[in-house]
Amino acid sequence: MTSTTFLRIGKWTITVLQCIAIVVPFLFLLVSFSKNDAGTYDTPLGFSNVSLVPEDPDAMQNLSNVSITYVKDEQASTELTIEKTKIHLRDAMASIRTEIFFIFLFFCLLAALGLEIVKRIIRVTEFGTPFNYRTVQYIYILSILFFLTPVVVSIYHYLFGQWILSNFELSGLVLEGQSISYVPWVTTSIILFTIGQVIRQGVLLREEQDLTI
Amino acid sequence: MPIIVNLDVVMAQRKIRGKELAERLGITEANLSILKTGKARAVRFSTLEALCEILECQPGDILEYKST
Repeated sequence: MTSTTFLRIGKWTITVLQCIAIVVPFLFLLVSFSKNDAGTYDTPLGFSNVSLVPEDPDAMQNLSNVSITYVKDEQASTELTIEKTKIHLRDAMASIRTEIFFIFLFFCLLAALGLEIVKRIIRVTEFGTPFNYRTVQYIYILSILFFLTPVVVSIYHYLFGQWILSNFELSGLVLEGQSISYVPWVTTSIILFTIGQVIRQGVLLREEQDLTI
Repeated sequence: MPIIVNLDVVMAQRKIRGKELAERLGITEANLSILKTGKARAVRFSTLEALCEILECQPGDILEYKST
């Protein structure tokens, strides 16, 4: 397989992933609300590592001594179900889904932006002009995105936890947030930054070569 | 940059046109313009040698150092 074919396949793959990143949150919203009438749609509390767990592990067997109440509307239908070791909330409250949708959309747009930058780098590589300051900027932006991702996720965990605590009365349940590992993200960010610096040096050398008469 | 290129002065003194000089040097007019306007980052010894030969001058006539 030639490098051109490889780049082309990479570009198509990224375009497909971008479409998925943009469409998926809206599909989530559509499915979520279309199943709202049936009342059986399972809305996990958060799509990341924020979960509700019982204070007493034995309560997992029969869901005894655990309950959850929506503060703003005590009549709202809530039902606890067990999936593996986590407790999920079945609900019929549109506000929860809407808020989750916007957070989900934000992350998907962030991913789409990162993919767009990679696509542009592939495009300039295809044209045979990858060594320019624009490419260096793209790589720096990618590096910053990788660096910020765990920070944003941590902030999201905190805010989501606060949101749950202020909206629900939890009895026999505690909020468990698994912290995201910073190491792979920060390492990738440093590697990308270093690659950016290397390309920047290359651009400087090329400029010097071009301006040597 | 404290290095001043006086190529245009020497060219005027020798009454040689840019196109002719570029042809005799074997470089493009665009590159000669970069050299004349002081935008060049470096000059090859071979280019400097050819310039001195064509313009019958010393490197010091073309390049000048001015402290900032």
